[in-house]
Amino acid sequence: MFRQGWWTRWLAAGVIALAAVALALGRGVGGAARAETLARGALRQLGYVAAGDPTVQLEGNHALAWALERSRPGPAGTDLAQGEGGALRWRVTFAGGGEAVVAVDGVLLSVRRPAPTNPGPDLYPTAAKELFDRTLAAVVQQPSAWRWEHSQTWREAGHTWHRARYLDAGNIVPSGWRRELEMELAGSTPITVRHRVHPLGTDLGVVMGRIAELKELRLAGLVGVAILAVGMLLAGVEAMAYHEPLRVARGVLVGALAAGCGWLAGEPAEVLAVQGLVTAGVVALLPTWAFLPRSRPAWGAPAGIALAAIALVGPMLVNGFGGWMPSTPALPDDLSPAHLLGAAWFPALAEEPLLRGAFPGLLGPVLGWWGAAIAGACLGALFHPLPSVPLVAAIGVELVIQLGLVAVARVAGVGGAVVARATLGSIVYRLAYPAGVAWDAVAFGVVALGALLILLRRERE
Amino acid sequence: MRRFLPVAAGGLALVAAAVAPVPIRPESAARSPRSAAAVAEAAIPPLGVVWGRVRGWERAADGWRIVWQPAHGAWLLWAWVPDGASDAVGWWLDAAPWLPGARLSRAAALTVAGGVRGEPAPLERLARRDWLVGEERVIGALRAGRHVPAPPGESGILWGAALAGLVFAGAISRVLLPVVVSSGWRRLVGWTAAVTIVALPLMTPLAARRFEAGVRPWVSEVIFGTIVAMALAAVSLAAVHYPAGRGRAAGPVLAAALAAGLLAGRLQPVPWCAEVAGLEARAVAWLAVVLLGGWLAALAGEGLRQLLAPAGRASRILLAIVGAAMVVSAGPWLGAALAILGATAGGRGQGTPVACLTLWGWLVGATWATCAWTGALRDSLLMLLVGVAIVIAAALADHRHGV
Repeated sequence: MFRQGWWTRWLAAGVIALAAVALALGRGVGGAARAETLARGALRQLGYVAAGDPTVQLEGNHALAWALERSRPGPAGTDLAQGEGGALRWRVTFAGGGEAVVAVDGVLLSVRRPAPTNPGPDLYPTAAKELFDRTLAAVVQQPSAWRWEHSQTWREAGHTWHRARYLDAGNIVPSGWRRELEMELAGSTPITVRHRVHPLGTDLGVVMGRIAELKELRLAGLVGVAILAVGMLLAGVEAMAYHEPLRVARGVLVGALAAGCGWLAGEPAEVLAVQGLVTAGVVALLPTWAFLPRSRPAWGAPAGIALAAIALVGPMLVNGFGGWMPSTPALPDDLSPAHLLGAAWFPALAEEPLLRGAFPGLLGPVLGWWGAAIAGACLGALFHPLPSVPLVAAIGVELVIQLGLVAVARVAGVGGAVVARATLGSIVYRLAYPAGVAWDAVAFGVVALGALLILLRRERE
Repeated sequence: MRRFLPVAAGGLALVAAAVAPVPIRPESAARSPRSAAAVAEAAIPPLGVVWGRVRGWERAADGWRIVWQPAHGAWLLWAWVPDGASDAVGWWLDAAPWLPGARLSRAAALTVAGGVRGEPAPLERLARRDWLVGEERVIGALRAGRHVPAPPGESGILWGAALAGLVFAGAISRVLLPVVVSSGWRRLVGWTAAVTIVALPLMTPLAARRFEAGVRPWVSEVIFGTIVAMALAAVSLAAVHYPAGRGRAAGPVLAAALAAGLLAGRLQPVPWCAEVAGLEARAVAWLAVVLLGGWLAALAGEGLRQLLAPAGRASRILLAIVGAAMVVSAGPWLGAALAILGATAGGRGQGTPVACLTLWGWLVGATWATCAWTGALRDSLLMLLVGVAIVIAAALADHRHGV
């Protein structure tokens, strides 16, 4: 096309780095420091001074978050999930005692102080109610949003305990949902304030139903992969019988890498074994399919950033057209940077050689390269979609991304598709992890690798 | 006269296989699954939920297990309709775990369950509490019915693995030792797979076990269709890559294969044949089983022959021993085992038609043994004639191209 000078390469590398920064910088789940401040303040309101550095952990329930998003269209749903709904929250635990849970938007969801040995004089229920109301006003941001429901009293460890229950009166949560607040006091000392959200309507049903359906659809994709694996086995035996070139060592290396990334991502041992073997087999067989495009990994990072942009815009488009797709990412089980590394690279190493290499390799002679690659894209679209209404919307967004990867594979081969997928995963999955330098480093590591590949790319006519 | 004798012998063998006395099996379905569904709809009391339409069926414990599901998929209703008129219809309601309901107390659950004796065990769900009371179940505040007999568990995994290994060996041998390709059989396999894919929407009742509370039925049906379509596409592609060999099959051999299959089907029927016979598109399903299964069995037969080939002259004795062992231990796999043995003995040229006719006979025999309603019996007899015509047509097509 044209000869690339050093300045062009530096420019390209700089542009992709900037694009990655724009897409991912500051997009992790923030608010940890604010949560700690709020927790200390709330404990102080309960008459307890928390000492020492707390442990701050992100936790949540993405099904609940998606149901809350579904209950209110647009940004209001996302705000509800990250705020009053309490689906994404920070748990702040002080070593010396005392714990608070704060929504990522800074809404205090619950606080508990250690019960003192001398909690003060026991109160009659009427006096306890006054104290409850005072505590509510001090701890909760919108006390008028709560309506007294009932209370109970009991004796324990020589003190009188009271428990009060308030119901949501401010219509903070949509109809079909119930929000309640529970407070306890021992003697005349408030001990806990606890906030709960109960999904009683159809929103959670829609989300759970879609999750179950996507799980079943994934099964169809796995059967397709199993059929492909049998084809690869036969192709491997044929290749050995006819002494075709095989790259066994490279296959073993990439298979081991895929299994290692899967281990970091917390995949079960049997998945690691199967995916590692299948990946090793595909990579070993790749040279026998001489008609596949040559690998050019340098193209991967820019393509991956473009696909990440599509993936991030996808839910907005679906919501804009009257459908629904969640914008809160699925919360992983493990929130460490190593898990992000594994989550980004495992699908890239395990799926791309299969969908962009083995599919066109085995089916290409019958369906043509494009036909086989598009068949692979259709199968790949079943593996990672989020729940949506209608269901095909999320599969459609996934299919667009998969077709993008097909285009990358046409230009830059399997290697390019692997780097593109890892870049895409690093940027998109980054959103589900806490804000922090370590996670940013993992996310931008792939982009930096892509930039390096562009800079080191050999000049070709 | 010399031409007439093999035809007469073949005909006699067929008649003998069709009328030979065999133990009458109790699991022969007295009525079609659609009739059984009508019986259940009349017998089960109103449940206060929308049943939806019949989604699928399967044989279980001398009766039909039938499933209904409404389009929203939030619950499933299973019913068991026994073949005997004296047994009561059993039913079972299953609801998605997120479906809101009540959180009944232990005493209330006992009352809803109809005063059944037993210690109620709670089962906390997302939005309700279910109770297990003996064999009864209460979903939220809804009685969920009596226990429906479970279908028999999968068996013969070893056999399945052995057959897959033989198919694999056959595929390798067809690559290393190429055959003279039979274009007729190749087209037949491809067209059968294509027609079956088109007819898949009519075959979703076979996916009865795939329906799940909380998953909408169209999704379950699409998943079933996708999986089967992928398998069919893989088989038709494999038929292009590992094609059947061209050869002339002898009439008496084909007649013997058909008769052996027919007898095997009557001796060892599988309940699955009755489930297929209940379909509206049963003819297409039968064609797929016989033609695609026959091609696969021929491939496996070739694998078996190549595995025995190193034994040289002793390979025939070995084949006889292996064949005897297969026939004795096959059980419900008897039809497949006979088809493979027939294909092995028939050689490359005759393997595919011999295996197909064996399977055809087996399917018809098994349908006769497992179904007692007229439609299935009549259609299976018609399909027997169609099957013979198809095999003859394929053989003639090869003959025209020269063997």
